[in-house]
Amino acid sequence: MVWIPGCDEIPLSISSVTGPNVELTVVRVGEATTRLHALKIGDQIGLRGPYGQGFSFPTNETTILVGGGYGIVPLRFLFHHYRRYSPAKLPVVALGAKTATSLLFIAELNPQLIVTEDGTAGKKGLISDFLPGLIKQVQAQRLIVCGPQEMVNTLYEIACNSGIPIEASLEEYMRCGIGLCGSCVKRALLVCNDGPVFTTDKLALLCKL
Amino acid sequence: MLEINLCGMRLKNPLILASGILGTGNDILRRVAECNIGAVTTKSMGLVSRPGYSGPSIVATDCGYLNAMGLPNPGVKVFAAELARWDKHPAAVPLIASIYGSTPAEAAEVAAIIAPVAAAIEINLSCPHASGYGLAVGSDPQSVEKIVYAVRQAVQIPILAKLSPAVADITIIGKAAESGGADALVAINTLPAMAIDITLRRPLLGNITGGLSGPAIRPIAIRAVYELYKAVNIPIVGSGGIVTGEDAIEFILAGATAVQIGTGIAYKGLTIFTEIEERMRRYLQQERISLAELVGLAHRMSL
Repeated sequence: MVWIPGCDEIPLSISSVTGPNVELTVVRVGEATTRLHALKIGDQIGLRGPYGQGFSFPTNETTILVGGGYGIVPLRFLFHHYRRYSPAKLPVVALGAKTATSLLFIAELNPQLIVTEDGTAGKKGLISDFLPGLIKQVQAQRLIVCGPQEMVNTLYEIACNSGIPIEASLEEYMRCGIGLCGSCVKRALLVCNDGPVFTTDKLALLCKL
Repeated sequence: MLEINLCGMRLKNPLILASGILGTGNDILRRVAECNIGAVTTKSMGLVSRPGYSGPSIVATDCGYLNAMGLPNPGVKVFAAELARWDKHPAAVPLIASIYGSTPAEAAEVAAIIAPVAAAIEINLSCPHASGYGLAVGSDPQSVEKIVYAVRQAVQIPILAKLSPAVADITIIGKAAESGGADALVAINTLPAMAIDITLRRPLLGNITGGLSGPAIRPIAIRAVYELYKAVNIPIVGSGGIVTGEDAIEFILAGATAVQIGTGIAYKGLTIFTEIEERMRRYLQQERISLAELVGLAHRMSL
């Protein structure tokens, strides 16, 4: 949870951690993020967390990280973790976005699949159009995804059809972040505490169309 | 062994989910209801929706939490539609609807809209951080009596009045609620409090001040229940910092018929209800005493 003094406190995922430095990747979408963009070096903000359940870290499986738009941000943090602790078995990265300028961290993540809706980079279409092919090609054993809910819904179906587990980090408005206030409830699940990363069994409740 | 009758409601144990905690929708309340609990309470609802305050809305502090959510809710009509799916079977866990209103007429209107889907109404007379609502009306005995009376005229189901400890004498407010027609009292809500970040040199809560809950306020709550037990003739639901079975038993001894649990979930998760229930059961067995006999037992002056 990131506190922007005098404005609000919002849930953000961590983009990278280097020593004592925590890196956030913030898209300007509302008042709080606009204020974050306006900060100067030396300005101070508050941080609390991290809370809830994180990604698993399977180092003996072929895993595909699928980022939809800005959803790549928490997966970048996970990718760094692999680079540091499991350099011999890095996950495969697939990136999708609306347009080329929304594709983040390409150079660093070296994605095997890039898809844009308008075809300005990589293949044209939705990431879900090309993912079944990639799953077969690399013989993936797990999907770890973050992106818009519709994308997660489709990827959940693809994972089920492919018979492999899926983990997805979901987004929801949060207030307390610690499982008390109920602001982030989806069905009977709390995104802050039961999630934000949900595994196949929980996604079965959250992704059914 | 732990079954109780609270104002005509049959509870399988005296543990109730406190208002403001998790009670935003049918599915999450159902999940809590499956956790060895006697009854659940919704988040407080008003006539129209409120967005709540800007964050931060919660701060962890020594032995508790400070919060200033600002009564966020979608309004009673949306809540009534959401909770229409609640199972009203006699064996199901009773649903208590928490309501607020700035005037007697407003509170009565909210209560009348939600009453068809609820087993009881809890009137929030004590939120310490919503101007014009809660404590703003709950600290004046005449206002309290009028609000409770108006709700009494509007609904047939039991009414619980949730009181604030931030008054000179809680028994005066408790008696006012009783005269207004409350079937039970709930004591206590959170205490007005605040915290300041020394690095940023600013109040931590978006609303600057908020309400303190958790173990820090338990002794205050115990005293409030103890005093109310002597002052009124209606049952008291104890609330404030209950984390363990021992805490719950302490409230019963002070005079509570049932207890509410909220912040404790932050420490123990939803298994807290099972933990407390088992501890209470063991205590009753070991002490060879019934739950009913335990209520108010600390008031004995001699052995």
